[in-house]
Amino acid sequence: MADYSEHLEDFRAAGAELVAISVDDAARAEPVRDELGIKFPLLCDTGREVVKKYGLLNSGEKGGIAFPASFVIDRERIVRFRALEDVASRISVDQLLELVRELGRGVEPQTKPRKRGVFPGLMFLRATMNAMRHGVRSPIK
Amino acid sequence: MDERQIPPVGEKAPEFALADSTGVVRRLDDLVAGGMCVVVFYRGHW
Repeated sequence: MADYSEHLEDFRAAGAELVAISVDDAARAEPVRDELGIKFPLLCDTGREVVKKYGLLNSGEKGGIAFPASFVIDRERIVRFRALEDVASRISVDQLLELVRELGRGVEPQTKPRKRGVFPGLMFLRATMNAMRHGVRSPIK
Repeated sequence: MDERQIPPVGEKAPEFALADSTGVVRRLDDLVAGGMCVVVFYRGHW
């Protein structure tokens, strides 16, 4: 997420806003935003309504959390790209930015998501979240 | 995860209005008005 934040102005220059959604409430999300210096909104879907609507509710974990996923949505609200972390279509922030630039220029994106294992953005995010989860909270969940 | 429920490329994304961590309500329709919006779902602290 810090990776996304670093590229926020690049995304905006390419015509895209950036938001992130989790089931965390403000009391949990705001310290993350502070700590990682995130300059885009962290949306709090505490009711899980949006996560459910997008088919991303992982109900097996702790009251229901979101499966990681990224979407590029255009001004008609049409999905132009999606990447789901649990299948081999994840995407790095750099690739996502390139894709948004291509969409912004009105060309069909040539950027294809790489296979599993080369996603520093999500890896960093997961590492950070794990560090915070295990660092801040009791290991007993 | 039931992938059939996840909006695919070429289809309309469900509208939403959610408060951000500072209390400001963000609507997808407003977020895309400038051209595009990248929406990232993340696991969070739970």
